[in-house]
Amino acid sequence: MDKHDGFYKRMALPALIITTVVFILPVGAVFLRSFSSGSNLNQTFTDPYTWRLLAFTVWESFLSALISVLLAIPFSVFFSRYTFFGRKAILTMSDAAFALPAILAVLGFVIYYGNNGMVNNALKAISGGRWSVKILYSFKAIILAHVYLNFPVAFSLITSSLSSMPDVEEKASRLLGASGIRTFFRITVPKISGTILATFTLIFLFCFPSFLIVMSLGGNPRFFTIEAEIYKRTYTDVNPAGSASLAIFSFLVMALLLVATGYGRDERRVRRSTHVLIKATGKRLAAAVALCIVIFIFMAPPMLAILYRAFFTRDGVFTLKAWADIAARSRLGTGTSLGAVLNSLLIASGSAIISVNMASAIAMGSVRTGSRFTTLLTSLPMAIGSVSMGLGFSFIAARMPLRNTVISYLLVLAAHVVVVMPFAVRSILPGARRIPERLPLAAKTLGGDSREAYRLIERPLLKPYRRRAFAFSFALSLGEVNATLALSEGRVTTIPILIYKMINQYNYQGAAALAVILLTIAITMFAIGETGGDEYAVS
Amino acid sequence: MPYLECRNLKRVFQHFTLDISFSMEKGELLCILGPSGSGKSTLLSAIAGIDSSVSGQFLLDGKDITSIPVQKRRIGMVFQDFSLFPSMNVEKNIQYGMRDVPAEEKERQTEKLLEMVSLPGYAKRKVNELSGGEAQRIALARAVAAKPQILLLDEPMSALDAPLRKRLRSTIRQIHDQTKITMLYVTHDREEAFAIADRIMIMRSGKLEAMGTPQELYRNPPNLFVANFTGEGSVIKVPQIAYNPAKNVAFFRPEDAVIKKCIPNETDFVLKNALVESYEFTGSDYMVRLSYKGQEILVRSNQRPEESIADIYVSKDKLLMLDAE
Amino acid sequence: MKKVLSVIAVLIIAAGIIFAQSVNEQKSGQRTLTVYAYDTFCGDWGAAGSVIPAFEETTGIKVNLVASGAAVEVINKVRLEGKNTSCDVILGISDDIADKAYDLLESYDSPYIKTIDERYVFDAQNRLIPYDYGAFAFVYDTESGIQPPTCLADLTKDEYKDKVILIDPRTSSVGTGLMMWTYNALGDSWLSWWKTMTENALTTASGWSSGYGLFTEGEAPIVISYTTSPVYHVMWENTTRYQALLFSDGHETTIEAAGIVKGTKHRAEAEAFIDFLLTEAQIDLANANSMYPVNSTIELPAAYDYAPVPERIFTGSSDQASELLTLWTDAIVK
Repeated sequence: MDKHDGFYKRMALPALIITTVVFILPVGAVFLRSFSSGSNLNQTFTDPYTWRLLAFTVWESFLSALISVLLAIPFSVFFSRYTFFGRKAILTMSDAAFALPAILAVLGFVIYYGNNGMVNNALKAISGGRWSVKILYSFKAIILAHVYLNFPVAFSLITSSLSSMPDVEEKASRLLGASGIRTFFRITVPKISGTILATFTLIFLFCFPSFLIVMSLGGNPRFFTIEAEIYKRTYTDVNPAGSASLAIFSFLVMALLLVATGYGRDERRVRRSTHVLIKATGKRLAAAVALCIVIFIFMAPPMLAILYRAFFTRDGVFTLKAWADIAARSRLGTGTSLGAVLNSLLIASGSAIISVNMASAIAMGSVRTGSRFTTLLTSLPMAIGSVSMGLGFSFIAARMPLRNTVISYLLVLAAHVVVVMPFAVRSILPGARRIPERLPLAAKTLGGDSREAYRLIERPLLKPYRRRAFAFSFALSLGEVNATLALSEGRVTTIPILIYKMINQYNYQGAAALAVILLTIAITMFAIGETGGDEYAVS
Repeated sequence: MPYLECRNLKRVFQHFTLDISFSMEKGELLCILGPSGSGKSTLLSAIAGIDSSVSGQFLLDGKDITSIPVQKRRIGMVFQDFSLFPSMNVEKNIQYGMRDVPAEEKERQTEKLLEMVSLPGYAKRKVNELSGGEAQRIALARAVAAKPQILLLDEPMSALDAPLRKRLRSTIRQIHDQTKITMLYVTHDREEAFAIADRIMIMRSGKLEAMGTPQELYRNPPNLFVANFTGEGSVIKVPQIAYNPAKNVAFFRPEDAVIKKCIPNETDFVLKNALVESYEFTGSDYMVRLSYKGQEILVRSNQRPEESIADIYVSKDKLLMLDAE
Repeated sequence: MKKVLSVIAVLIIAAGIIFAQSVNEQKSGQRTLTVYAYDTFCGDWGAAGSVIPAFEETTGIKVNLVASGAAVEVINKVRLEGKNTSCDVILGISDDIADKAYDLLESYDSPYIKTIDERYVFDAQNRLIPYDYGAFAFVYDTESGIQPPTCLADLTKDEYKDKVILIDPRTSSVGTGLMMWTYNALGDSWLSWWKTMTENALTTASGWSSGYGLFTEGEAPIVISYTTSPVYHVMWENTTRYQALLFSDGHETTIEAAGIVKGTKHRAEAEAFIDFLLTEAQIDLANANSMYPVNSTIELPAAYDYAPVPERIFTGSSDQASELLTLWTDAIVK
C-alpha cells in the first residue's frame, strides 16, 4: 500500500499528460513529415554536410556553455556567501537578460560593440581616430553573445544551488587548515557538480539551436548551425519534409545529450539549511563592490545601448519620435503597440500561471514518487529548437479545421507552455526536494488527507520557488518569437513580433523603444521574483 | 483483550530481518528499547501506516487496520525532528488535528494543551523561533490535540540535550497519566525507558528479545543480551562454578556482590583473590572494577577498597544463570 | 471567495482583449475573400494598411487577411492545408520561388495584364500575376567618405575590406537574389567572387532586417538591398544620405506576384482583388513595399527619383535558385 495513497501520482498525472501531449503533437507532426515523400531521412543522417553542421554547432554550444559556467562560478560562490547592498539588484539585472530575444541581443551588441558602436567611438574619441577594435563579426563574437545571454542562467542557478546548501563542510575544512582554494576545489565543487552539469547542459541546449546570433555576429557563412539549416530548408527551399528530417536529427542529438547527462538524475537531497549569508564588510565589501562592477560592466551596456537608442537617433539627436509612434497607434487591434503589449502580458501571464501550477504538481509528484523519468520527460522540450517547434506547430495548425483569433491564441499559448515548462519544473524541483517527506506524513497522522497536506503544508513552502519559476517563465514567454511567428498568422501580435516588424520597416528606434518596454516588464517581474527569499526555514 | 496487536510483522533489511509480533494494553506506556539499527523506528512507522514496506497485520481496539489509510487510523505520532509545519504558527500547528471542532473550542483546547506542556501563551509564536525543547513539546501538544487512539513517539528526545531530556520525559509521563492515552515510545536510551515505561519491549536485530516491566527485566533478564542491556553486571563462565550444567554463564549485578573479608555463608558464592583494577566514586558509593581469572567483575562497595586483592561474595540466589551469547 | 472573484475578473479581461482583436473578422452574409500574404505586407505599416480598406470600400467585399512569416511560408501553408484550405488568393510570391507555387494555382487572364511591362510578366499562363517589382542593388552611405564602387568586381578590392554587408542566400530571399545576380552577371567566376567576398565582407547577415540594420547603425557603409531603399529615407527621414548604386553588370530583379488558389469558392471576388491590385492599388503597393509598380503608366512621387532604374536586368527561376544554392554551399561552406 502506497503510504501516500497514490495522491502524488494522481496529482502529477494530468499535468504530465497535458505537457506531454502538447509537446508530442508538434514533435510527432515533424516526425511523421520527415518520413513523407520529398524527404530522405536516410540521406540526412548520412550526409557529411549534416555532420559538419553538427560539428560546428556542437563546438560553439560547448564553448559557450563552458565559458558561461566557468565564469559564473566565482561570482556565484561569492554571492552565495555574503550579503551586501545591491546584491539583489545585480541578481535581478542579470536575470533580465534571460528575457532578451536574440534579435535584441544582436541589436544591443551592434550598438555597443559594433565597429561604429559606443566602444569604438569612445576609443576613437580618445585616440583621435587611431584606435579601434573589431569585436564583432568573428567566431569570438558568437561566443561573446552566447555567454552574454547565458551567463545569467549559470549565475542564477549556481548561486541558488549554493545558497541552499549548508556550508558546514566548508567551515570544517577551513578549521582544519585548508586554504580557501583547496576548500573550494575539494569540498564545494563536488557538492555542486550535479548543478554544474545540469547548468552546462541547459546552456548547451540553449546555444545549440541558435542561429540569428551565429549568422549576424559571426561574419562568415561558414558559421552555420543545424537550426539555421532547418530554417533554410523551411523558408528558402520550401522543403518541409527535408527540414523535418533535419529537425528530427537535431532533436535526437539533443535528447541523447539530456539522457546522457542524466538530466533526470536526483540531486542530493538537501534538508536543513544552516546557510546564513554573512554581511560583507571591509575587504570583503570591497571585493563585493568590485564583482558587482564587473558584472555591471559586462551585462548592462548592451541593454543600456538599446535604451539609449530609444531616445537618440544614430546621429546622437535626442528625440521622442519612437515613443510618439508607438503611442499614436495605441488602439486595440492587431499590429498596434498597446495591443502587442497587452497580448504579450496576457500570454506571458497565462503560460506562466499554467506552467507554474503544472510544474508544482509534477515536481512534487516526481520527488515523492522518486521518479526520474518524469523530470526527464518534462525536460524534453528543451531538446527542440524554436524553429523546429514552430515547424511542428505549423503542421498542426494547417490541419485544424477551424481557425480564428481564439484558436491562434490557444495555439500560441500551448507553444509557450511547452517552451516554458522545463524551466518551471527545474525551478521548483529544488524546493520540492527540500520539503521532508515527514511533513505530509505527519499531517496525515493528524487526520488530514494528502490533498490537504499538499495544499496547506507543502505548497506554501514552495512559494519562493514558485515565484521564481513564475518570473522565469514569464520572461521566457515574453521573449519567445519563433514559434509565435509560425502560429500567430498575423492575428496575435506580441512585443517581439512587433519588434521584428519595426526592424523590417527600417524603424530601429521604434524597435529599441519596444525593447525598452520589454526589458522593463522583464526586470519588474524578476525584481518581484527575487524579493522574499526563503521565507520558511524548513526544520 | 489487547488494545494494539501486531502480528507477524516482517521485513528484510540489509543486515537482519524484522520478524516480530507483540501486543499492548489500553492506556499503558510501552517502551520499545533497543540498540540503533534494530528496526524499532521502522516498526513504529509501520504501525502508523507511513511505512508500507512491512508485511503483517495490525489490529487496533479489535479492528483490523492493516489496509486503512494513515489519515483514518487515528494514530498520532511524534517525530525525532519534530516535523512542525513551518508555514504555520504554533496555534495553527496544534489545531491542525482538531477536526469538527468549533473555533472557540479550538482556542480553548489549544490554551489547555499549551499549559499542559508548560508553554502557556505560545499560541502566536512562529515555529522557527522555537528552541528544540519547545518545539518537541509543541509537537507533543499537536499530536495529543488530534485525540488519537494511540500515540507513537519515535525517539523524541534524540535531538535534545541531556538535561532537557530528563525534564521532558517526565512531562511525557505526566501527560500520559493525565490523558490516559495509550503510548508506544521508541528509544535506545535505557535510562529513559526505565524512567517512564509501564512495560518495556527489548528488540535486537529485528526480533523481540524480552518483554516485561522494568523491574522484571532488570531482575530476571531472560538472556545475557537483555541482562547487559538493562544494566551493569558481571559475567562468569560456567565451568568455573559447575553450578547449573544447563547454562553456560552466571550473571550478577554489582549491587548484589560484596567485597568482604570474613567467613562466607553457605548461601554465598565466593570468588577468591580477585585483583582490584580500579574504582570510581559515584557519590553514594564506589563502583569497583576487579579482575577474576581474566574476567571483569563489577562490585558496588560502601567503602573504598583498601587492598589490591579481595574476595567477592555473591549470594547464590542472586546469581542468574544464562546462556552465553 | 476573493480568489474566485479575481480569477473570474482576469478571465473576463482576457476574453475582452481577445474579443476586441477578433472583432474585425467576418460577419455572415457578406461577400468575403481570404488572402494569405507575408508578414510585412500585413500589419498597419504594411501595404495592407492602405490597400485592404480601400478594396473593401470600393467593392464591398470583406477581406480576411492571414499573415504567414515570409512569402515561402505562404506557399507552405497552402500546401499543408491541402483541400481544406480557406485561402482564395496568395500574395507576395516572388519569381524566384514561383515554381514552387504553380501547382496550387489557377490561371486568371486579367484584362489589366496588358498594362504590365512585358519584361515582368514571368508566367505565360497567368497563374501568378505580377503587381510590383524591385531591383537588387548595393546601397551606400554617402557620409562615410568611401569611393562608391561601380561594379560587382569592385567590391572584392582591398579598399572595401570590412566595408560591405552581404546577406546569406540560404536564409533570405534578398540573399538568394544576390546569389542569382552574381551568377547572371559574372558567369563562371561567380563562385570565386563569393569566396573572396566572404573574407572581404564585414559579415554575411541572416536576413535583410539584420543586414540593413547593421548598415543603418553604421557598421559598414555598403549593404545589399534594393534600388528603392533610398525612397524610404527620403520620404520619411528627409535625407538623401543613402543612395543606391547602379552597377555596370546589370541588376537582378525580383518580381512580386499574386495568384488565385485552385478550387477557390470565391473566384469572382478573387478576380476583383487581382484587378484592384493592378490598378488602384499600384501606388500604395509601390510606396509601402518600396518597390516599383508594374503598371508602367503610373506616376511615381518625386522621392522615386532617388531610386534609379537599372537598364540591364536579369530574372531567375526557382529551379535555378535551388541548383545554385547547392553549388554555392558546396563551394563556400564545405
